[in-house]
Amino acid sequence: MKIGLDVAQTCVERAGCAWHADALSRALIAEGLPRGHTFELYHHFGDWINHDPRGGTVVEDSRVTRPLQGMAPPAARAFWAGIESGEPLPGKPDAVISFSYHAPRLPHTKLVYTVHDLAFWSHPDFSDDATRLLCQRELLQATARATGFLFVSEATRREFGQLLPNWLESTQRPHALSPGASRFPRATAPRAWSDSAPWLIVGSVEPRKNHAAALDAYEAYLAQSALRRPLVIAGGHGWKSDALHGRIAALAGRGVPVRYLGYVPERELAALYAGAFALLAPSWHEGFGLPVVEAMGFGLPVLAADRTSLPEVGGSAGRYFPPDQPELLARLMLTLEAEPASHARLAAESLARSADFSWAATAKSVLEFVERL
Amino acid sequence: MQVSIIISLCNGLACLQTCLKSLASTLPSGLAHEIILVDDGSTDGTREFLQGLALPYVVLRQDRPLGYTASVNRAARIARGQYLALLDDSVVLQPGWLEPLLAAFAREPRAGVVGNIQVHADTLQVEHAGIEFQQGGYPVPRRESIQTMQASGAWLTVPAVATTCCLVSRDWFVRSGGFDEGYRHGFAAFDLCLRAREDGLVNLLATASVVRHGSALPGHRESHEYRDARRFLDRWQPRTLALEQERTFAEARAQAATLARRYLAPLHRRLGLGSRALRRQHRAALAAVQRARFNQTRPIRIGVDLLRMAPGGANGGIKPLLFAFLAEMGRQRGAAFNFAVFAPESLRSELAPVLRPGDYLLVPSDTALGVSRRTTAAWRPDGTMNSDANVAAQAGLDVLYTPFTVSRFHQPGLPWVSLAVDLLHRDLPSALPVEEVNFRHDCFSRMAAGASYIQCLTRHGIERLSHHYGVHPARCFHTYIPAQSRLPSAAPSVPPAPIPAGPFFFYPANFWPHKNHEALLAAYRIYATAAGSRAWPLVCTGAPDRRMELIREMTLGLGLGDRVIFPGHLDDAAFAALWSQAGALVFASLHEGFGIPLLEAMSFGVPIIAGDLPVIREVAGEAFLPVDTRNPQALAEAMRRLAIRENLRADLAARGRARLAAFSLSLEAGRLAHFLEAAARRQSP
Repeated sequence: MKIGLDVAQTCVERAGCAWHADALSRALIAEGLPRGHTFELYHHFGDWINHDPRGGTVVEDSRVTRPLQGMAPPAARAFWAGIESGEPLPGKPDAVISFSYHAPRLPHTKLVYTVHDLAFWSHPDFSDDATRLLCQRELLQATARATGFLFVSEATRREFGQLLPNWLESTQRPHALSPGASRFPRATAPRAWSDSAPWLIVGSVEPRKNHAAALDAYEAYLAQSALRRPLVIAGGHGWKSDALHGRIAALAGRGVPVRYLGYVPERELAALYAGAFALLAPSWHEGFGLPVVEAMGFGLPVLAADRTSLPEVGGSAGRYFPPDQPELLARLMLTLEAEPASHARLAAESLARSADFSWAATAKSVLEFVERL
Repeated sequence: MQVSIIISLCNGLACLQTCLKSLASTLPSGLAHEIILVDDGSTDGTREFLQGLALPYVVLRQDRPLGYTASVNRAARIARGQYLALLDDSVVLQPGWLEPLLAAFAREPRAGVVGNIQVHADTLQVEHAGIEFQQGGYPVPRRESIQTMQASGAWLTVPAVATTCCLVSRDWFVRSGGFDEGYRHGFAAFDLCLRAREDGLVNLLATASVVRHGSALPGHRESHEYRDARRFLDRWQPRTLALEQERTFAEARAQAATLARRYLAPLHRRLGLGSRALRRQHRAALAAVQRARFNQTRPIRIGVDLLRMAPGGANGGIKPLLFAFLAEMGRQRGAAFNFAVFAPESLRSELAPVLRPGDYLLVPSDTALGVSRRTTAAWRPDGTMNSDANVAAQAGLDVLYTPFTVSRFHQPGLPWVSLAVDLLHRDLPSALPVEEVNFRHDCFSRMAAGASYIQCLTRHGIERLSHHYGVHPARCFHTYIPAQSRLPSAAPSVPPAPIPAGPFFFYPANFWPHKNHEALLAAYRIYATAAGSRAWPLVCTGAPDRRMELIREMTLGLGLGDRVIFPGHLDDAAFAALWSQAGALVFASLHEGFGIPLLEAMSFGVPIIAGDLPVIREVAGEAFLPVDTRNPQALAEAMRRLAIRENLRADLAARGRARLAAFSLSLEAGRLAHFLEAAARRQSP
């Protein structure tokens, strides 16, 4: 088969969905080439037109083509307008997998549509207008245009079922899970933790990620902790985050050991995971929660909100709290610090749990799903 | 009933008793009246005194003080009189105080707020003889002697009066929202008077009516004085400043003319003295007065630029609004207004019923403007005009009205009034293509820089315009869209095919992204899945375009093809037929400049589900079921509730009908006419 892959998001500063697109595309190619498939990477996709697509995902292989990577925005816009009006994609792929929420009209090929999350509808305050207007349009277009659906987690599939009740069943539209996995190699054994190893939060700073609760919890923790571990926050500067950045700066100014690192590139992120004491994931809503699975791969205990996909991904390796009760998170933090044995047990469980997620395994099941369509 | 007297009070029983005693002894005999006393939280025995009162006294009690403005508004809503006499309890009425106030309304149909002369109860010094603006547009009471005032006339036109003792039409007071409750006390009166001016009314001082005014109770208003003043100046100052300058100029002009007429000219004549330059000066002074008088009364020609208007329904609600306003202004002002409308040829037939005989239509071709004039029967060709040269001067325009923000016919020195429909491109830019955002921003920037006055569709719109473009609110005015009168009420009982008979959810909206059809479809699917065969269908009208096809494609994808109906853009009769059958309006929109369907729903007794947005609160009041329209599950739940609960529907429909009273075409179009005229005559509105 010839399979088209939407890597449009990988051309800009990458967040969860973009890493998903990048890692899964690479894994699909690695799994698919030996099976005789060929691939096409689209660095512009539907309405997603990149200013500069050169930084996007690249796989050097003669069986992987990149027809749009050299295309400037006006040409790309004209190209997709042509596709929209009925022209076939140049390489005539048999199937195209969309990772970026976009569902262009592709009458000559099968569209497989990835659903990351539906927070734009279920929690409208957690997404901006631009995102909501785009996602709701493209999702509903996908119901008319996509041959198959991929859900990044069971929680997302459940949420889809709440918002479009009985739709998958009544249309008998094929669907499968395509869970994420860590981008980093799995640690072989838990390592020893220093007394200064920090708490870590990974994810862009925006209301949905609920950094405010983590700060509340952290302040409560500091009041009672003897070790007073620092808190490290890694992630891009998201929307509606000014108040939070103000609060972080004020805390730091009072000598509280909290550090905001901004957007952290892949390699430095690995070092952060490796040196941290535990991961905090207080999000109100996650489609999958890539940092959780990555932290588990480094053998970090995970303290996560008990919402959406987080318990599904963390399983028994995580400890959970309601995201509106930071005092419970503080208690979990104090317990984890006070009981080295439970920390070690959770760390081991994390490592074991992380083995359940691999891009190769996800790619294999996605390929089988696409082949069956 | 003729007069409802309203007194808001809080403690100060002795003062109130004096006031009521003077009132009882000075009311004209045979006057049908009621006296509404609002007890705004008295604690000193006043309450007990009030309990002993019977008709014509009506007592409203507020355990928690709401303040003066809210108290009076509350009383006005229940008042039954044709006029409201607003009194402070510190006033001691004198015989014959009311008759001149009533006579003002009989003499001047455009009377707004009519006040009187107030003298201090002890010193008998004049404390108030109308308000004028001084020292940078600050409201200050005039204190000329009673004799001077009375010598100037029985009823004097003044910019504003104090509402310590005044008379106002109940109908206008209630319709215009009464006092702005953002004020606690003092400056609300001046705000009210300036709003009366916006509605084309004149505020009068009845010089024959004199009352005494004791000192106000301490703490009654002083603690709010600064905040109220700030609010007043924030809202009005440039306009009050202009009024002040206008008065200064008029006084100077009058003085020069008086001097010329009375002393110097006769002197020169008799003695043969004076230079040619002096005589020229005297002639100029007299001519200036004449010119000013002529300028007040001559007819004005208003250019209306509709070149960006499209035939059919592509412009949404703006077209019926403009057509209704143009027709109504023509009716109200008669020969005083002459319209010259710039429009594409495709609009000619649609404009025919809007314009009156004598009005002009200017249709552009590549190089020229074809001019035709409306006769009683048709259009008569009236030559062409070079469209590159100064069109405004060629056409003799006094003012340009630009409903699409800016126009290509602007000329230096030609005042223009602009319409800002909404701030979508700044409040929800992601709903528009980036080129459109940039285009609108450019238009709005030019409008903000150059327009004499800017028409918004709600008070909220004025607030957004000030927020995004720094336009002072005093340069803006609002006209609601009284859309309820547009559609034929006697509609055919059977809607056009393929509309189902019986109740359905109705969403009339063009298929623009901010109209949020996607969330509505998802919500409708949740609702319909749960309700099964009992589910109401969904009808989405709107001008067909590419996005309508897209929405229809989504409907098929969702498996709703047979439940959701897209009849396209309908003519008024078919549209009215739909309204008469609709079960509920589900107004899923994320952003509105006004929300015309809200009023249409109210007039057809259709209950409303809508987003809880400030603009919808302002337009629909309490007459809608608020919901977060971004969230399909919330929207679906509202639809479910409304479809199964008939009493909820009836309650909302009744509130809607009551709400309609707030919207009147003559009032809103009158306000637009007032500002067009003010701009054309270069007067302060």
